[in-house]
Amino acid sequence: MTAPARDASAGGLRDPGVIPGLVLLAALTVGAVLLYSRAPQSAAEVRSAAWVSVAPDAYTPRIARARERLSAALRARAAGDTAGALARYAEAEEEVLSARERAADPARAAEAVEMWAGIALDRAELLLASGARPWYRGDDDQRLNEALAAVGRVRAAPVSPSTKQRADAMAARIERELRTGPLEWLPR
Amino acid sequence: MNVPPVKAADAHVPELNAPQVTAPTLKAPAVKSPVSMRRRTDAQRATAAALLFLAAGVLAGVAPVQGGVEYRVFGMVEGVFALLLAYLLMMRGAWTRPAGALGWMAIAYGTVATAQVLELLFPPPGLVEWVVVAGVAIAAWGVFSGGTRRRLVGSLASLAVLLALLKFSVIPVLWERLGGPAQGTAFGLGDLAETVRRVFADHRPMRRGGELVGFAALCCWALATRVLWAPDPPPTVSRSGDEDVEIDP
Repeated sequence: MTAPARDASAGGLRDPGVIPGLVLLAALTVGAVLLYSRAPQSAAEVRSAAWVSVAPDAYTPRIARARERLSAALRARAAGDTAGALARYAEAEEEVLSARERAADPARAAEAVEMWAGIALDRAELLLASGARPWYRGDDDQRLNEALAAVGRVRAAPVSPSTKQRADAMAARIERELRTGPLEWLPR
Repeated sequence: MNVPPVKAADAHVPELNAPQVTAPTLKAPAVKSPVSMRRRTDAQRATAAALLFLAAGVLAGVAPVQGGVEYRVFGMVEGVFALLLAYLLMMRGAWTRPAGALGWMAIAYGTVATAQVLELLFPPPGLVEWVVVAGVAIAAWGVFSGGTRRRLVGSLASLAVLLALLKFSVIPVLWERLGGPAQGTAFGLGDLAETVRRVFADHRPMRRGGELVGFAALCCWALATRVLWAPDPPPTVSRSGDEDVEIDP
């Protein structure tokens, strides 16, 4: 006699297992919404994102996340997904810069800057490859200018000589591509 | 029947109240039969069903395709069809009619899960999907509204088999065999052939194991429906001779 009365009064919430079940349901629902909104493509991406969520102010998780984003960019590039690769490179850059802000010592900061420079140059290289056309067709100047801006940021940063040399060479290539028509083949 | 608990102090005066107290206390667990121990309350069943529907909805949208994982969410067609099916399932008694907020919560999760399962089972966008969905929608009320809840679930299962056959067997086989020039070849004829193929069905092949995820989603949906299945009243014999339960709308 007491059970129906209790169900009617409390909606069955006091039944064994109902409250834990509802808590689990709410947590899993939030997890499902997050899963679908972030759409992770691999288990490594889920792991790195979870690590950053657990320790958002730490250096190591951000660097690990950046490496994972860089791997995703390389995978997308290998699959021919240029837009996806550019987006992944941009995410990796953002994570590395975020890690540099959280670096506890100059050595780690320099490591983060060097990694950021490499990623930025990779992205610029992809922008150059996707924006350059044969001399008789118009280039995608917007992409080339974006690549040039990225390379300019790298040249202005305190990077190693080899990275600076790579940035200089890439800047020269982009500036040559930006010239009109067959002028791109003429030496400066 | 409320049984007073045995207090620790009572153990020191066995000659006074031991016979009155200990006998009912020892018998109290025996009052609950095994059947009543197994039977869950409506709230427990609703919570379990909502969890299973959530699992079904999440799994049904995960599609491991070539080069990544897609997270598919149902659209307008699947959503409207899911509302119709939820109404039919409640009307025929396959899903327990909700008595409170927890019951409605399970129905809401069930409707979303049904829409996600339909997203899994319906053919990919294109002419094939339009024909199939239009046919199912026209026939739905006549096919699903009559008969018992067992027949309704049986009809749904048959429909699921046919849709799965179309999406996971017929379309992939025809997609591979009805070739024509590949995209970007034959002086542009390949692009034209690809466009024609995409008009019929925008098929995207799944990776190995992708169909297993969808099967797990269907299992979760079926299990949740079983959990929400209302207990049978005493069976009656219908006109056709089937021993089944007719539930009036």
